Amino acid sequence: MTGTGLEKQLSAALFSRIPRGSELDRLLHSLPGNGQRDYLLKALKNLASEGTQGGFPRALRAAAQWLRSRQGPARAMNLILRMEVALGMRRPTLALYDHTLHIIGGGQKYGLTMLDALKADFDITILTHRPMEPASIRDWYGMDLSACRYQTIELPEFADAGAHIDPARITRRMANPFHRVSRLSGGFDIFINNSMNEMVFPLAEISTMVCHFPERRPGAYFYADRYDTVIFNSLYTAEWIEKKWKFTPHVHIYPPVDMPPAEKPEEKDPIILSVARFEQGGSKRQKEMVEAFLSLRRRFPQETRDWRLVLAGGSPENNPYLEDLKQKIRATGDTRIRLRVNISSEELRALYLRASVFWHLCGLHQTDPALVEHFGMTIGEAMQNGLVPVVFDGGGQREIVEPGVTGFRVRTLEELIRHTRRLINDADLRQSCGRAALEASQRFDRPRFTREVREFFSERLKHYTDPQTS
Amino acid sequence: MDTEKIKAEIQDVKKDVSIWYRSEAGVADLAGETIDRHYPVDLWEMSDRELSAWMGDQLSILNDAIDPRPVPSEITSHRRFLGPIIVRVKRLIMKVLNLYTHSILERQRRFNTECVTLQLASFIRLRRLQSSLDRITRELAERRELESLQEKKTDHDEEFRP
Repeated sequence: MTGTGLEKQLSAALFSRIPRGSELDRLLHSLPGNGQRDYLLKALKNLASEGTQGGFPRALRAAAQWLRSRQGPARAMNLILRMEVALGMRRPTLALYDHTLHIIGGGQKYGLTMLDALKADFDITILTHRPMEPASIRDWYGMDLSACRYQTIELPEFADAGAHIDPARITRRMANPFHRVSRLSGGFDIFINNSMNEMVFPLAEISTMVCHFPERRPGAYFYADRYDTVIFNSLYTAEWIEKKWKFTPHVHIYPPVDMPPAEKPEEKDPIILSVARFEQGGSKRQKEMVEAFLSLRRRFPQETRDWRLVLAGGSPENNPYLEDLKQKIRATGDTRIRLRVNISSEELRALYLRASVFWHLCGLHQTDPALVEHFGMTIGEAMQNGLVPVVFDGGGQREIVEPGVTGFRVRTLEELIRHTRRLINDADLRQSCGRAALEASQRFDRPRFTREVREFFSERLKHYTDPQTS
Repeated sequence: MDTEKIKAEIQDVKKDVSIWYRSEAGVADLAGETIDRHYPVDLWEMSDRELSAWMGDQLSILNDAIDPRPVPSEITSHRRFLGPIIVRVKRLIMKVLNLYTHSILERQRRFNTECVTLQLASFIRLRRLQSSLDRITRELAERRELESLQEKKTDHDEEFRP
């Protein structure tokens, strides 16, 4: 029998004519659950490599039986799946779950970009609750994930909910509908929960939760702390995970900012740009931006005579906030304020290329941390195009913009007006801040994201197939 | 190592393990442990939005529990043969007692309804007050900043007056 001391003893115990559970208990009792599984895998791998004349299936069955009785059937399944990959019999499988994948958003893009980075090494399944097409992913995010499998898990509990599946509707008095996903998760080598849905219990050997923000506090069916690893998108999110969920998340990976200009952004137009969803609750503060721009024009008409404000962003149909905003702009009669709703990514690129200043006020007048920008991908996109960001001083935005160097951070509309006026009047400042912003944006670019994701999962996979048990 | 043989042996064991997996009804059974825990609610830690959502949920729970009168269909029995008899007897007792308890429980129901309605009214009033307060605070902050800028401008103008 090959291997180190404990591995040898385990191999011998498993290989005996009648393997005894009590013997495995004795050998493994001092190890935590995952350590026990690591040792079992190593012992079984040794037995398989020695070609032990019919003894291998008996040993494998004994190990699976022991795990079933001590750690549950899911762990027995994990062991078999792990053996298959460890012996090179198939490619590892990975499932990504997102209950909001049918809606365009930054969180969804984060998860899908992860898959794009991993698709060469894994057989990938995308788990959703609404049917998804690879064509939609290509149109929305410009990624080809046609080689992935798509599996829709029906949720009759949310049949009447239209596009919005809100886990907060599930209380302890109801059965957990998301356990349908929990059950499926055990059939994969790696399970990634990219949802803000902590009600899925992970049963895969490697489980990762990507937390974009801890929306709810621990309550009914809370399992976020049951994942091996919790990845967080910004230090702001990490701070709130600690406050709300009372544990420290593990790995920090900034979202992929992926809007590099096709040509070098040199000649800029006098445009102030905002790119943000037209949220029905108005949390992105487009109305306040219109107020600020009008005030700027009223008070400094000469300085601002060539400047325009362009508000771009996505919106669902029949959005009362957007209708209000349109009416407000019409009432002002100011033709220098433009709305660009649901534009294509090419049009957006063109806007980024031409605009000079970028406004983002998500979090202004807000007391709820969940409604402050958790990261702010569009700020990073603007910086990649050499725009000077003037953003709200809070949330993840503090991690992106260095005041006076790569842009400005503001707490009120008056500060927004003051800094913008400075930028309008000082072309050199605009240029130097724009250059610094472009340079700083590399911290968030997509190649960096791809590298970090691949490193993280290759490390996990290495341990999965060949655990270091010393 | 005879890879093909090992592969076949693993597939063989996998079939059994899949049966174990499928035969378990609950996720806790699959995980082999208790997975649900109780988390105490700390109302002081909640943001206004969270408190508002929590109050809404609590109101809906209170609303569901307004009527204290027992419902005959809630009386059940797990006993196979004696069960139906026990259920009938209990329901009969309930009907008889109903003659005495009806007026008390009906008063209690009306009282509960009034309480929940009052709570709901307070909840709505609180929301309206909160939104007015938010608006006023915002306007006040903007006005203060504007005033301070105007003061600075006046000082500046006076300083450079010939």
